[in-house]
Amino acid sequence: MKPVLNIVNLSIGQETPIVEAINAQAFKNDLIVLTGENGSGKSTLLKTIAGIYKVLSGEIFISGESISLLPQKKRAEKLAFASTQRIREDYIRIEDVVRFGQFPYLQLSESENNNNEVEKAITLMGIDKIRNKYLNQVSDGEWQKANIARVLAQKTDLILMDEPTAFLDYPSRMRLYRDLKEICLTQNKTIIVSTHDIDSVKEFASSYWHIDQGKLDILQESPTWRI
Amino acid sequence: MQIYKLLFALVGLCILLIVSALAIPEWISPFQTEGIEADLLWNYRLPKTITALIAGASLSVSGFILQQLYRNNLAGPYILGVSSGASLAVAILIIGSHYFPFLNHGIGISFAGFVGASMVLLLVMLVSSRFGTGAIILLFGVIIGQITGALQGLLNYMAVPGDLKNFTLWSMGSFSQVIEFDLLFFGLSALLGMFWAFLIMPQLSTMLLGDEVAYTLGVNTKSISIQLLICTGILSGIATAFCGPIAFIGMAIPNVSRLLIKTVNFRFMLLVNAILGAAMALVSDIISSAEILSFNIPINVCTALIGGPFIIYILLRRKR
Repeated sequence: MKPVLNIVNLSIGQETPIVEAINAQAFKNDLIVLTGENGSGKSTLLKTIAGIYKVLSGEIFISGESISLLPQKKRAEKLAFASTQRIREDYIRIEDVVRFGQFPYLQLSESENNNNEVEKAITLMGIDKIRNKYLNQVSDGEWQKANIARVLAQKTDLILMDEPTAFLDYPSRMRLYRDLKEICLTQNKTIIVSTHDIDSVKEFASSYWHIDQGKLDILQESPTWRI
Repeated sequence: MQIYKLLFALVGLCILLIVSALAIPEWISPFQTEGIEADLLWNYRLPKTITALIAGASLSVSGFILQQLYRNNLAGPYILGVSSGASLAVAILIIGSHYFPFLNHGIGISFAGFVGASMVLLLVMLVSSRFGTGAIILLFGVIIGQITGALQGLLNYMAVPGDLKNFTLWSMGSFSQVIEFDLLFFGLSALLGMFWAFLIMPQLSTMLLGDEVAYTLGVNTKSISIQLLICTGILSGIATAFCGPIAFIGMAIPNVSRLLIKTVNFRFMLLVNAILGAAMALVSDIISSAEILSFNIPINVCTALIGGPFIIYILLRRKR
């Protein structure tokens, strides 16, 4: 099987490298949890894969194509990125957030197909009832559901989420990981989630990438995965 | 559908205001073709009303773009010092035109306004990329305003009495100085700025999710920001060059629009802002021309009296 994400000898950082010699692969139906202390380079790794930060050295391949050769517009159809930022504007509805996921596919105006993808993502995340709520009225858990629906609407094989559990309480965190696992297996996605709470994610991940002292270690696949 | 009803209502309001602006302080029949009254209507009130329309729309659209770009609801061309930058450049040009008279015409003045506005926008962009977009850029703008004000004071000191009075009147804001070719040029450049901004509004709206997410949605955030700053430079720079630094319209109207309608369709928001901005400029012009105090009240006095209390309301509402 060809890897969805293939990282070869990668160094990351802004100007000076903070993590070096990263070699890792991710396949279809993988849910990878990326752990490490604050400031260890988790965000930087995700943002480098997303193309937001430049690669210092080495290469990143997505479905066999080098990201440095992919135009930015094409990249938006291959990978989706969700940041930690919690948005609270009082004029953005949940549905609007999901709709942004179809942005890379918009022609002159919204088509039937764009709408269908948005509806699918909304149904999948079970947020139909709150679709008209404004972002200043929703809980952090509901916001994250909208965020996931948005990346689903972007129709990419690879999904990168930077600390989605940062503001969530324990039960919401569990629910989020369960949602991510289900999406990963039923929608055939590859998902990488960064977090610094290692304990609550034990049985959810297919493997762990841990950053420590400038090195990335890959830990065994969890035995309870895929059950 | 609701969106179109609102647009329709706003256009109606604007037409009503245009008619009122043409009919104040006293009604002149548009069927009169000769005499002082016809001259007053066609050569004074009509260009003044059109100027107010264009300037109001340009300033509020600039304000909307700046507020969204910096995600700061108190941003605007006046408070960020953009208008002051344009003013200073125009003042320098007018002084300079004593020696190079060919500079002193509509296009030269608008170009100076555009350059002055763009320089300040560039500075604001540099500051915001380093230090964030909160209170710091507002303070920065205020200080830029003070510095350019001081330099302009120096120019005033050196100016001959005739120029001094012109400067002072101009700095109070006026819609009645733009006629004939200048008006056409003003209208066309405003149209260019607005059309350009209109085209890239969807990209700006994705930046609501944060610049990084917008980037991964395929939006070249750097290029979009720079293009929008050029649009803002054209719109607010040229409006300031022709009408003087006009306060409050650019800051207040985007907030009024957001209270009126909640949508992420920024093309629509741009239209609402343009129409409402034109409406506010017309209202200010009507108050200014109504001869309440037996003379024409300067435009900036009117915009401040209308916009000031509203901004205070927005500020206090946010705190709660």
